[in-house]
Amino acid sequence: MPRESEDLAVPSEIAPTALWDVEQHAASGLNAALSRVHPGLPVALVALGLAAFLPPLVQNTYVVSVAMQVEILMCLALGLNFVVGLCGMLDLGFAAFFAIGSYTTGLLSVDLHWPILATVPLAVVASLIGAVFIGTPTLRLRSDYLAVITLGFGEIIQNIVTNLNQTGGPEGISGIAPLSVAGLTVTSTAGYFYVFLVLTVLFTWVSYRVRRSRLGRAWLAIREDEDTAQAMGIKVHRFKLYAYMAGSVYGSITGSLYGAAFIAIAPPSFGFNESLLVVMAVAMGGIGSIWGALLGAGVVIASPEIFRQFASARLLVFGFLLVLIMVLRPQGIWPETGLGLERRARSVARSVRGFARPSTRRSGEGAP
Amino acid sequence: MRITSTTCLSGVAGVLLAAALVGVPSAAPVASASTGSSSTYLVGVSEPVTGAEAQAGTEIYDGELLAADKINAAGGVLAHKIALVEEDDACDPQTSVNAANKLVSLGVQAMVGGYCSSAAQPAEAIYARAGIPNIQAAANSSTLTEGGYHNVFLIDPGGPLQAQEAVGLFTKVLKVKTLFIADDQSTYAVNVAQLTAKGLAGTSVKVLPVEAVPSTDQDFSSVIETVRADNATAIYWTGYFAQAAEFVRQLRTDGITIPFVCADGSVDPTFIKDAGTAANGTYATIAVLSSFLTGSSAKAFDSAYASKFHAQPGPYSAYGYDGVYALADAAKAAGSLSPAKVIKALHSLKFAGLTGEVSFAANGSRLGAHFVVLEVIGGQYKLAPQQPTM
Amino acid sequence: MTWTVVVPDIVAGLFLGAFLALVAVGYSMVYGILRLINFAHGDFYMLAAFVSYSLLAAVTVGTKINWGNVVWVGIVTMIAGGVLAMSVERLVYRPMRRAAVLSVMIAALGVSQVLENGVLNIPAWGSNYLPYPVTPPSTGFNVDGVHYTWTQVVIVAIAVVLVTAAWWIVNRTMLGTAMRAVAQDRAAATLMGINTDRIISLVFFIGGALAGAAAVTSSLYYGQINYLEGFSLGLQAFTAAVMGGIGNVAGAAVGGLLLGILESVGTGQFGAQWALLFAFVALVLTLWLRPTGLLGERVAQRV
Repeated sequence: MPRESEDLAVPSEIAPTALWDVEQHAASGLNAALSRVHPGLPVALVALGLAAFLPPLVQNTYVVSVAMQVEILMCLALGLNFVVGLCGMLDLGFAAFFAIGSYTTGLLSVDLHWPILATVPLAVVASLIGAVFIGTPTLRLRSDYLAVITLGFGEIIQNIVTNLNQTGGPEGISGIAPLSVAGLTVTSTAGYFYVFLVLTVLFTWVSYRVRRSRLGRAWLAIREDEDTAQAMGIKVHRFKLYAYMAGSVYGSITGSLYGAAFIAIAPPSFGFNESLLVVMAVAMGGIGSIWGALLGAGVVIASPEIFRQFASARLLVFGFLLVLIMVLRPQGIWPETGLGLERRARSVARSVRGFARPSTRRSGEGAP
Repeated sequence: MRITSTTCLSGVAGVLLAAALVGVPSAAPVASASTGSSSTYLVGVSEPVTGAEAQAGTEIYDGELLAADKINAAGGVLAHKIALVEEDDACDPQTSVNAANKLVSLGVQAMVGGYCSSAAQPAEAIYARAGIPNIQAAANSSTLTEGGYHNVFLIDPGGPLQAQEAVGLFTKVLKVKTLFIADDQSTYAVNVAQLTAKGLAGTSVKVLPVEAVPSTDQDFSSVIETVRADNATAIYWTGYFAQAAEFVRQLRTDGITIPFVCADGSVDPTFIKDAGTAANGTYATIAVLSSFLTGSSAKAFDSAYASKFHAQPGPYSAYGYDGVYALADAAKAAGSLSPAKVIKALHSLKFAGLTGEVSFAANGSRLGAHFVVLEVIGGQYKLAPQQPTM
Repeated sequence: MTWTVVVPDIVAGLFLGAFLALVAVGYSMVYGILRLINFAHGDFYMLAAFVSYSLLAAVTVGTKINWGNVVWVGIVTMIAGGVLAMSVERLVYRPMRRAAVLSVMIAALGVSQVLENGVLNIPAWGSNYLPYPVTPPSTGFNVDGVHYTWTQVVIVAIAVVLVTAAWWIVNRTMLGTAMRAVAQDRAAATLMGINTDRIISLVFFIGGALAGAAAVTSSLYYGQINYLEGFSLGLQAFTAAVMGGIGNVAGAAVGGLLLGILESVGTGQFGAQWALLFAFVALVLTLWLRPTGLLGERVAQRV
């Protein structure tokens, strides 16, 4: 994609110094500003506009509620995308961070009556501690062993919250306060739809910026070839830990607000099944791609709901859909290499040109 | 053939769109013949259709279906035929919220169902906002009645009464020295286990620390070793029937003959089938069930259920049955199907159901239920010859 | 720590570990050859259990156990398990040979959903816990006050025989050499004239057959089957396989036994609710101290 190749060239006058520096082009002016805009941005803005009007447009709490859950999974998928997508590590226990966030907020809200927003930083700190604690010794392992360890971590967290009386045991925590922002208390489904919409947009924007920063680039390098990345001077282990930590932050913030939205949280929502849902969203959508994560989340949540008409066969149909999509399109619906629309447009343009001006046939391009 | 992006996207979108167009508007009400929507009493049933609790959900639904058919055959509710609409809550809070929203958007005028308390909780707000009666057939955690919702009614009497019966059984009838209590980590089982342990404090029965056995555990050998090592003289299992069958089977194979008592979640013909001869001599605490009343309506329930569904009723089928009857009777008493009036009538309702006298406290919890002790004799559940309340 | 229960718990754990070992070996072999965490493997086990249930229900009359029936149903179930595994490989995993491993894993999840919910929706099976038509006798012997049945001994013996057979095939036969070659470097194996597709199918068949054997023996012992029993077992088997060393048959067997013992001892010492936690902590420690698993792995390094 033209945009990517431009970004790889670092103008000598501006060398990024901090990890999170996004390369800035020296050019200025409206043209230059427009040329920096991602081609997908107009589409994103339209989608956002539609989403913003969903509740009044649809007037159906069920649809809004499902949409809200799509947003929640989108946030989680974006978080896992750092770990699995950008950095290439297989994490099967992502629900652990979701749980840490939810339970921290739940406990602080119910036991100490803290307002929800005040609990979020603490939830983030708790999950960061967890990420560092688990990540430091284990991220050295090969991806498949990492899968088991992260799976184990997820099970351990779920096990702990199920068994401890302090976390409510199997019954979980109920009576979590609703979210209050600037004096407004959010209690309706539509309200939380907007809350999570804001969160999704925020997370997407941050993911986008991070991906185009040195940090994101380092992750991509690690994913493509760890040893070469190490040889190039990237401290692989430390960057892997950063990815894991970034994911944990996303997971815990989402978890905190989840507790507020659902009033009650219980251990079954934070187990291996939940981790798998997030992995499904990322893999089905397109590993590493931000749009893919969003799309994957939509498909994973919406499909079982749409399939309710099949009653007890609804997950059976969902399973078939899953297999079908992965077999027919293993790279995911919207992978990093893009939808390929540009490639299509170019091949169409080429064939049109080919009519007007016969040229040497290029084999391999656009071939089915 | 390479599946291009556009093909894939359009394929997925097409499938989902088609399913949505076909499925979303038409959540066809199941159950007895319903004529036009104007003479139908639409009742939602939110219960586990998929997942580990699917069996319980089926039993509850079948019990409700039986009741609905019977009421419809007798003319329906105020000339309206009951139509049940089932939605899967998968015993999961998120799915349950979706199911609740779906039912409300379909325009149900009441909800009778529910098995898992953790799934029922977030859904309560949705039914309350819609102002419809929320009759929980089997979910009975006390947190459900603590939310301050006036439309919640629990058919299942829950922990305290059952624990009371168990305490009576262990102190007066079995005269146990050392009791081993185990639950399956589900809300209800934990509740009963803890209440029983508390109730036995200060009596001559020594209660060992409650053992929580994860519901997916099939192998009880280590638990049995603990039973042996702690010299327990009786066991109280408050979980579900599948594990109860495993537990008692392995117990008897290992040569341990101490009394085995289970709570009502284990009272199911499958327990007897799966445990085989090990089931004989086991006890169970349960709210009075149809099979043990001598009235004709009770026998009718069993035979009607068996002939319609080719299976014996499960532990919660009767609760579903009573739930639908509670709704119907309340509507008749109120003389109207309007949800607000039905809720009011439910608060002052009192009738004789399969599970005993049905009436509700101000916060919606069940009153009037009466617990008994059953014993498995010759492969059949019978009323234990010695009851604690005698 | 209560010491009196430790020894019986270890023995109980060995028995539980026998089932885990059978399933773990299959998991490990598939993983070794395709680098795929086959989440559907536990459901092969589950479906095999249901197939054996229906077969036995059809031929069993009365309560007296007919060992002849059990044996041939067992063999048929093993074949059925193998065929099921092979078909899934052919239909789902083979077209995805070039895809990222994560994608294949998701496809495996899809297969798992299809198998589980397929069984759920078959009227003869459904969601309930079905009692196994055959109940083995509980005659046995007593050691230290604990009763052990001959059935348990036979089951453990069967597991030992099958796992040994698997190990022997993989490590002492030409076929096994081919399997190990394909696992090590698929391209080179093809160049050496090995029919990789056929070898991979065979590995799946063996894995499925072992799962089938585990299904029949455990259903006999525990007496009931349920459509969700595969998932938890599959997860434990995977954990066991990794703990012992992925791709390594002996490792998977050792891992299975070890996990069984850990769970049993954990239950005895801390209570059943902490058993899994105990096992996972042990796993984390194991991998920390020995990153390639107890017996070392047998997979090519990712270059």
